[in-house]
Amino acid sequence: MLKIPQQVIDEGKNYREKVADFKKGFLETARFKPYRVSLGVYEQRDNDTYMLRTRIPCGVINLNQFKKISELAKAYSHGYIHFTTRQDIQFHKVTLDDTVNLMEGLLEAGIVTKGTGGNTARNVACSPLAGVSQDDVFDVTPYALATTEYALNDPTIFNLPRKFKISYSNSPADTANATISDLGFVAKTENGEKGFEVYGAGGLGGSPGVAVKLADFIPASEALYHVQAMKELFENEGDRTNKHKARIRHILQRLGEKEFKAGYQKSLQIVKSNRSLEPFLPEGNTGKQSGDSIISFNPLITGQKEDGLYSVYVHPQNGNLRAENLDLILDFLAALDYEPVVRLTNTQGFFVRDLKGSHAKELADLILNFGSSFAIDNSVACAGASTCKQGLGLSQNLLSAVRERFLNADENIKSQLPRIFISGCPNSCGQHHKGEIGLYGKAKRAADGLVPMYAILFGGAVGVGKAVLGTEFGTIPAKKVPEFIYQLAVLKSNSDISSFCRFVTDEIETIKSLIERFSVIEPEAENPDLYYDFGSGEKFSIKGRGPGECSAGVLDVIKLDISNSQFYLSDFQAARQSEKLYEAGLSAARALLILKGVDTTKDRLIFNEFGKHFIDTGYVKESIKSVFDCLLDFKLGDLDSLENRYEEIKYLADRVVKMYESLSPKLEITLPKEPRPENLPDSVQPDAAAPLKVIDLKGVKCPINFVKAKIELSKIKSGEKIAFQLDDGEPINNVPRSIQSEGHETVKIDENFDGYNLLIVRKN
Amino acid sequence: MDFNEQQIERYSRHIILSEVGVEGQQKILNSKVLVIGTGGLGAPAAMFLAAAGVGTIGLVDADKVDLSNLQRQIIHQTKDVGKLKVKSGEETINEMNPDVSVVTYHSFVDSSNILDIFKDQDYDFIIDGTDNFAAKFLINDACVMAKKPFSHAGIIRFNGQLTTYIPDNDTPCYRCMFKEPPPEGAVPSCREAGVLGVMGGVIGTLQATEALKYILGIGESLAGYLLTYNALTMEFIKINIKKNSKCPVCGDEPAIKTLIDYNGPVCTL
Repeated sequence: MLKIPQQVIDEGKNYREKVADFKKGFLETARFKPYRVSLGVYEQRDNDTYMLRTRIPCGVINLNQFKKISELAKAYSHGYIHFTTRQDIQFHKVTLDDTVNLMEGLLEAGIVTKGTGGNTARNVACSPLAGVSQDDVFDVTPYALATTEYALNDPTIFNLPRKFKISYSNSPADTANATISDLGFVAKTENGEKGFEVYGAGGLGGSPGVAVKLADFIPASEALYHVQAMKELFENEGDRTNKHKARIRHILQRLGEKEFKAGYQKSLQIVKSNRSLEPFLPEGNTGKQSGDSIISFNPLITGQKEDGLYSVYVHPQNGNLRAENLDLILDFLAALDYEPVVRLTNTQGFFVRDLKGSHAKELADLILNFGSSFAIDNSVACAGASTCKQGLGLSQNLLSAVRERFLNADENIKSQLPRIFISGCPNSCGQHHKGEIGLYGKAKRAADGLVPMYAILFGGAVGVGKAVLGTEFGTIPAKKVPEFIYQLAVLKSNSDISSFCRFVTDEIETIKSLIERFSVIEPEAENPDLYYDFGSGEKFSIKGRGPGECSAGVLDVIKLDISNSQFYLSDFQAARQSEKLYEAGLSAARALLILKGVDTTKDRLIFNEFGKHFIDTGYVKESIKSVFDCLLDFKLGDLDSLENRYEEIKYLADRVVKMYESLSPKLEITLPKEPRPENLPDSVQPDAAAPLKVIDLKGVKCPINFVKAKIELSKIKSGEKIAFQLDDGEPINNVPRSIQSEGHETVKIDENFDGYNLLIVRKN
Repeated sequence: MDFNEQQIERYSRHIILSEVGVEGQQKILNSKVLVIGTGGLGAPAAMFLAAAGVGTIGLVDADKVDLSNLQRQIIHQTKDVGKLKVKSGEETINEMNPDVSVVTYHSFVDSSNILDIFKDQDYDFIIDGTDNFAAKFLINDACVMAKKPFSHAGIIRFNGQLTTYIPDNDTPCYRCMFKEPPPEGAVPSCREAGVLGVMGGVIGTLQATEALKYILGIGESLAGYLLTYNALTMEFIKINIKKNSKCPVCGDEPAIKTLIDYNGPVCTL
């Protein structure tokens, strides 16, 4: 099993406090959101309902963990769990308070949620039958797990430009989607040596593309170099300012294949010369029970490479499994006199592996209580508009309707079609691009209103040498899709072509006309049903659709602070309340700190860190430090008004906006720095004979400026003079008084400077 | 010696005080204080001395941290239970202030080693943070003989007392007030009688105050006075004590010329 780093566990434990802070209003929504999303907590469409996504590393889960998940589902998520297309389990419709309870319960079972959302390495995918399938080249699971562990141990991986999806397949059939991932490894042997074919920069969703091949063969032990190399390439080239163009495939699209590959090789060479990422753990080879052979035509039962051992595929409808049904399976497995292995798949289900033939049959029969052995019934549908904020169509309801249409169909018709991949919107969570049949949700404006529609794609595939995205052939109103699919099955049955792929190629003209027939949108008076989505009593609209949760990141937080500071500035102009100026200064100082990894709510720390990162580095005028001191004095009640600081605070706020606008795609500030302050004007040099020593205490806050003055005074002889540059406000009001109270003499206070004063003192 | 930026900030509240200032803080940084016993009294005393920037702090203790210590011996943490007290104290101080160098003596003090310990770093001031009469008389006698200023203190139940000895031929020593240890068993130890945890904090912190004032050469010390504190009535009483010319250790004709080990090992509160 995976060893989870302590800091990842600790973060899970801190979640309770953060939620409490959020509920008390100490933590703003915009700040809480990227935090919770990084822990796999997504807000759903209804108020105060959340989805919690676990990290089931590479789909590897043991029976005790599965049992715990069942218990937690009963306690906190209405008794069901959802299997994803990335070998994870999700809890849906959870209250915020219960996300805390869930997360703590999961930690007890050694399950974390860190990095299941946000801009980071997501669950590392792994062929669910790695190590046992008949086409298995070798077991890639240890490599996938080591990659997970490597990623979880690297704090910088949690702040990438966007998601980073890594996959390991155990054979060219690519059951882990390596050929459409950000980084994919496909098992291969050369001269008896284990290794991988490496793919990269693929991905579904917006501007999708299959991966390009980056290496024909690498020794298996070198995989982590490639993980690190791709990560560094991503960090250096990924566009952080535009989340819609931030994925690795966008780098490929921007640079072109040749330059991308060259950049990748360069990154790889750098990693190889700087790091040692080799030895992997040896693959464990535990002795298995001997099996018994059966003859079965049930497609859910797959023979393993070991004689007499079988894997059974469990696919709950729409990927949603009730805890009672899960318990049925777990109880069955617990009663066996050996321990079978469970692996989650990327098709919203899971395999039970290493079953003896007779037991495999028993389990396959058991799951027919809530599942089906027909591919069409085991189709994939994303969560869709019922819960997902980005969803357009109620994709899960569509799948249910398709299933219903086939419910009483002739078995011959029912077995014609492959699994369908359905996404409720163009973001390919239902992986519609990779399906032999793919559907994705759209909204079309007709004369009588919006109509929920689905685009029809055919011919998607993954695998070495055959990865290709599906091609779109037309768009059909959602309500007509089930009948269309049914007619498609009838058409195929009549064609006597067994391969669906060949059927589409050979019969494409017939299919096109079928699509055309179904794509007609009748007026509402004639066919009102078209204007309602499945299972919805409300007329279809895009109300409630919002931006996606997963990419909520630093820019949103910066924008929040900047707009706050601008609001406070205009509030101040309206009402002349110094509190508003304080808040304006604070928000402005805070905005860009997140770029420096500083995330704090402590005012003093915000000002200090801003000084360190933006004033000491020259982007902002030095005099702002004294403004910060005044702000703090005001906060403490030592200063009544900030009105005379308005111009400087305005400068600060504007300067922050300029820095923000100058951010490069790597989020570096490109704004020119402020010119350094001029030297002391000649007029104040007292006399040439004994040049006056001038100590620069500008920007040094009270009382440290006085402390430093005392230190300098201790270095000179009695009767000698020394000068101090002191900021306006508190420093020039306080320091001369303090120095006098120690018995020294104030010779002169020169106020003819911009923002500071010159205090000349004779030592007692 | 110049202060670095961190020192300026760390000691700013000292430097601001006209009675301390730059020179005073430098004196503190150059000073060496020996704390005997890292228990109820020694723990807070050592911690405040470390926070103040006392350059060298010696810690003497033979014991290991026990869970029952933690109610008052705040230099030790729960994770330190079972660790040598001097080690645990050293770790706490190192974490608090990198300017302090800690010297540890994992031992009881007795007639054979106490003067060598004084000499080891030529300590400027000694804090008696022990919990038994044998050690208190030993420390007193050793300080008188070696001419070391020290702070004596004791705490029990809700009561505490302290005095300061300065080797100036004028200050009464502990033996001027109490000729010799009481008979064994006549006075209960803390172990038997109990003590409110904060008593060490109050009295130990006063001991640290005396040490700092001595180092800085400011104010008036408790030399010539016994200060008693009753936490139940919240009364501090400052009793004037005269030097006893017949004191067996600091009097005109001292009878005690070598150190005495009264009984039992020295253990700390």
